[in-house]
Amino acid sequence: MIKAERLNKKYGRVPALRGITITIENGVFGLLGPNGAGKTTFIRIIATLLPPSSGKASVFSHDVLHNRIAIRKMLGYLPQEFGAYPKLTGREYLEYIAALKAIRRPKRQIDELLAQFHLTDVARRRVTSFSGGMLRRLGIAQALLGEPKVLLVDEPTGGLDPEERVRFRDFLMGLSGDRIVVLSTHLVEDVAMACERLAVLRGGKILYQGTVNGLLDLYRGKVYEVEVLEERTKGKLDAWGDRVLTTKRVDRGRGVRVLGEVEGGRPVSPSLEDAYLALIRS
Amino acid sequence: MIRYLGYEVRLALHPAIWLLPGFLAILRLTGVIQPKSGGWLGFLEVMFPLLFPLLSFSLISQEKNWHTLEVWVATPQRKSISLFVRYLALLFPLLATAVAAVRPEEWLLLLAPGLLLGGFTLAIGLALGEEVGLGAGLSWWGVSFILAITRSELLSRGAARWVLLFPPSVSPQEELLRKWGQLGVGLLLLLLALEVAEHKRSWKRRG
Repeated sequence: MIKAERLNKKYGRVPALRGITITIENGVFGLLGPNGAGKTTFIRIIATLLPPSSGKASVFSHDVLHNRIAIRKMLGYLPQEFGAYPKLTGREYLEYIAALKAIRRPKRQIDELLAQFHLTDVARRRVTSFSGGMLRRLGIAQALLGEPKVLLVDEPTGGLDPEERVRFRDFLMGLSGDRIVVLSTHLVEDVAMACERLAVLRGGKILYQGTVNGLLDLYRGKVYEVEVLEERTKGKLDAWGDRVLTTKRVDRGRGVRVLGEVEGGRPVSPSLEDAYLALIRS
Repeated sequence: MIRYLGYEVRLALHPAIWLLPGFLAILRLTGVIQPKSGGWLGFLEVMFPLLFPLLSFSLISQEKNWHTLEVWVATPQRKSISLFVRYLALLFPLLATAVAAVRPEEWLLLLAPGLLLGGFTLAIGLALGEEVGLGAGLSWWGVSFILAITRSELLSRGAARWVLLFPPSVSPQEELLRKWGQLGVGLLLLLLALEVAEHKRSWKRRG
């Protein structure tokens, strides 16, 4: 279990996390929020890369300040800005990380991960020749070396093509239930597909934590969809202002989803994107 | 274990660095350089230590440029051990260069100020940024060099005298003492750098 109590982090005078209290249990947990919400700061504190300014955080009862090595032994971590040693091939890089993680006889595990992330054919190529997507997949593979009890992935699907993103989300969902996976992202779709529970952050504070369905329930019956003719779109959108959640093209204009009842609108089931946007704008 | 050490050595070293001791060995074997020559020794005494801060800088900056620090830090391996192995890997070609260039009794003359500057650059570089470390190391060397060639009296008395890398007119006994002192302080600075590495978790971003 990952626990944080009144966790604060400041960079100089700028607060990045403001009194976060959260409990994350086994399963895939989404950290959702706009850029600058504090997701990466939270992940880096849990990964023992960053000390909190105040408050407490622990991973399976190991304090992030005082038991760093114990936490790192059970950790798989994919940072937002992932780089690999350009002198090494893909396989050598995984062997090196396996050595850093003190994994004995890692060959079978490396073979499986290379196959799982479709890197077997390029495993003997230097990582300098890897595309962005291949590098990202290598990053995920290294995070999974040693079958960590806690997997922290920060914006993992950036740089992946749509097919790879779907494959990665399937993979996250398929991870066994006896580990914690924290997926930090600003992509609602990733959380909607892969996570059972989530926390929504904005400005260093948690706006919501709970199940995905719980967040949807908050806005059930409050989201309306209305079709607006193209020539009237601008005026309508201006009038509804921040209540506008999403728009999409339809035959004669736009299909607009709005928070709260509007003339000519019909109630619809909120998507996670609707609920997230409504929450962020509240 | 051997495989791991092999990877650390590969990450630290560029194979081209072995050209330097190889080239010097050829010059020495063919008689082009005379290890006993005062001019050659004086040249090496001043120039050879410069290699150490440069290599310390490269050791830190490549970890930064490759964006590999975060994954490295998040593993349970002690960073001081990794860094120590990489630093040792860099020292081997420099040691081979000294062996190829001068007689054994002069090895200390070349290696001691180098280890001092290398440890200094590494410690400052890890604590404050690799460019600050290199700047500090080169400044120390530069001030010592200028005062040596101008035979300036500045910093030539008292404790300040011990700070200079190449002080003018010292007795052989003092010279030997200075070199052992430089070696000792250089190793202490290396230990300090390794301790800093244990706590290094991110790089300061430029402006």
